[in-house]
This record gives sequence, structure tokens and C-alpha cells, in this order.
Amino acid sequence: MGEVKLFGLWLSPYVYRVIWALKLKGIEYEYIEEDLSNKSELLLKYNPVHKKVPVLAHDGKPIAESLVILEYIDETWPENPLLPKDAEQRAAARFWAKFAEDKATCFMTFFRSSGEEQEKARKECLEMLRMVEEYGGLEEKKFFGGDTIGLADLAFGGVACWLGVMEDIVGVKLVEAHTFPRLYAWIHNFNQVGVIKENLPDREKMLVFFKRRREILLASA
Amino acid sequence: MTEEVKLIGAWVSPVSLRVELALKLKGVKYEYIDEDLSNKSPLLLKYNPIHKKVPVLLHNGKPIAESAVILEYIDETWKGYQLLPEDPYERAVTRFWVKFIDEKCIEAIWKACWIEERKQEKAIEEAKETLKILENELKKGRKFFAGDNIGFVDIAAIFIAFWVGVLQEVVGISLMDEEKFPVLHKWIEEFINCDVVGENLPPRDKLFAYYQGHKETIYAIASRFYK
Repeated sequence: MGEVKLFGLWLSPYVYRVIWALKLKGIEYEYIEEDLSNKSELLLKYNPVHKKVPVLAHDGKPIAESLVILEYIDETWPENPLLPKDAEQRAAARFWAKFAEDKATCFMTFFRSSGEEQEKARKECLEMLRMVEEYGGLEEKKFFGGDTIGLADLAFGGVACWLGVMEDIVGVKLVEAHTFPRLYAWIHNFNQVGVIKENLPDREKMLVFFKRRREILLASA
Repeated sequence: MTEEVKLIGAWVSPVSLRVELALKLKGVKYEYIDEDLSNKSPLLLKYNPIHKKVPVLLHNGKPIAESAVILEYIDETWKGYQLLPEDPYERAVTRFWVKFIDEKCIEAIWKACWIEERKQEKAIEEAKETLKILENELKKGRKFFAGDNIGFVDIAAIFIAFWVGVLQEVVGISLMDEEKFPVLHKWIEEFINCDVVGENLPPRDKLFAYYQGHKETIYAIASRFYK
């Protein structure tokens, strides 16, 4: 197996993508919590380009960018695969993972803004969610990955687990059972998966942290 | 079963060219369908309803969108020339750089070209920072990002190799002068000289004329986008 270290942040959905992948495959690893206001020398050495978490170090060799890390994990430890064997299905999984990644910013804007800017972000979020609802294939399967969670499911983890916290704090619901039935069901199913359920940041802690964060952001806007 | 491969692309699009280069390197026969980006075809809208963008690869009628996703699909589906290395760590490094080029470099360069004048100096500095990072990566001594032969990262960087030069001229800025980016310039020279690349680039004057002709439109879109 080698020595596996994960540099992370307790509330980052990107870090959790990697935690979930490691847990799904039963990979032992050492977790190192980073203080983003005081980044460790090792993090800066391992990710000089972005200086961000997550970073995975396998036998001292660093990999940055959560989706890149997920593919590396899948190729290095093939048990409980994150990607199917079929090339076309792999392409679909990668497409949706990239979609989740590229469209994440509208959710962050939705969270950190108010008034007109937030309304614009809200519309963009709804559009993004509408695309997943209509074209994600969730009417035919339980997860993006089929019967079990895969790369795309992990990539959408933020929607499954962090969005609810954001919605509570902002006081606006984006995903509801009657507006996005497939996504709503997927969120429920995703949160029932053992590895996910057992590996989430403390919700109360997140609520406190993000509530304060939003107050600070709105005050400085 | 006879195989049917079609590519919906656009001659002005560097990401569309990525896919063509990959198919040519693998020796895959395909039908090319050129899109008029100002008047998108029902075919494109049908096969990429989510983004409505080129390129879209159709393999036996099944569509795949997003150039980086398409290139991985091509590498997995057809043997022959290897676009990605074998080793998982090297593959991770490859994917990291492709992501960097897509999400940081190209974004920053496009912004620097088209953003309004009072914000342009800062945007140009940011774009140069991303190019410096690529320059430093190449300083590790390889002929191409992928090593002795071109690979996924090189192909992904076609925008930098060919489009940046044209755009600089059209908008009148300097992003990548040879003195500051000697290694990148050497890479460009080697890369463009590869047969498969040189033979498939759009004619430079045609590309220049296209951007020159669409200047006002692009500036208008940029001013709304880069608030």
C-alpha cells in the first residue's frame, strides 16, 4: 500500500471527496489538518502551484486537485472501483464530475452574496441543478455510478452534504422534492451510504462556522 | 461492425483541434462536421444540450462532450499512439497540467486579451503568472510536456502554441515575449513543427481575420462577463 498522507481542511467538500474514496477502498492514511491562514511548509512544497488542499502524498509523491487524486486512487487501488470499465460510461462519469467542478462557483456566490447578485447566482444554481436533473441519467439509476457511488457522485458530494447547510443559513431552498425529484432522491440515497454517513464534518460545527463566515462576507461586501 | 466516428467541431476552436490531433495521432478515420458558432445546428444542440458547445465526438452515434473527456475516451478506445502515460503517477501529473491549462492559463489569457482597458494591466500580469508556471515546468528539460514525443498536455496547450500569438496581435498586447519565455517559445517551435500539428492548424491569416472581424462582439461579451 505504501505511505499515504492526506492534507486537508475539516470543512472542505473537495477534501471529503478524497476521504470518501480512500475509505471506500479501505486505504489507510494519515490525515493532516491544514490551517489555511498558516499553511504548512510541506503543503507549500507539495502543491506550489495552487497552495491548496486536498493534496495526497503517496510514498512522498504529491498529487493535487481532488478529481485528479480520485483518478489516481482508482488506478492505484482498483478494488471498489470509482469508474466503470466501459469507456463510454467512463466518459459520462468524467463529464459529470467536470460539470460539478466547473459549476461550483455559482453556489459559492449564492452563499456569499445578497440582493441582486445573490438572485443572479440563485438562478445560475437552479439552471445547473436543472441540467443534472434532466440529463444526469438519475431516472434510470440510483447513483451516477449505477448501483454504487462512483466518481461523479463523489464530485457532487458538495450538493449532497454542504448545500443543505448553505440553504439553512441563507434561508433559501434550492433543491426540493417537488422541483428536483431525481436530485432530491439522489441526495437522500447518497447520504445513506455507510462511508458517507460515517465521514462527514460535524453539522453543528459547520453551521456555526459558515454562519459567521457569511456574516463577515456580507459585512465586507 | 463498421465503426462510425464523427466530430462536430469548429475551425476556430482550439479545443476542437485538440480532438482532431488526437484522432489523427491514433489514425482514426472520422467525418468532420464544422459548426457555425453563431448559428448552432440542431445536431449540436441535440448531442450537447448541456453546454451547446464544440467539440462533440460521436462514436457509433453515442456523443461525448468536453475535449479533455473526449481525449481520455480516445486514448482508452483506440490503441496505437499513447496520449497519456502508463504510470498512474505520471497520469496524475498529466491530468493536473491539463486542468491547469484549462482552468487557469486559458481563462487568464482570454481575460487579459478582452477585458476593459482599465482592468487590463492586472489581467495581463495574472496571465503572465500562469505562463511563467508553464515555463518553469518545461525548464525540467523535456522537449515536450509529455517527454520526447507530444502527449495530452502538449495537445491541450495548442491554444498557447498558436492562438495566443494571433490574439496578441489582434488586441495589441504582449503576453509571451520570447525574452521572458524562452523555453515556452522553443516548445512552441518544436510543437508546431510536428507534422500532425503543422498540417492541421487553421491558416494563421484566416484566424487573424476571424478575430479581427469579431473584435467588437467579443469586447461586448467580455465587458458583460468580466464585471
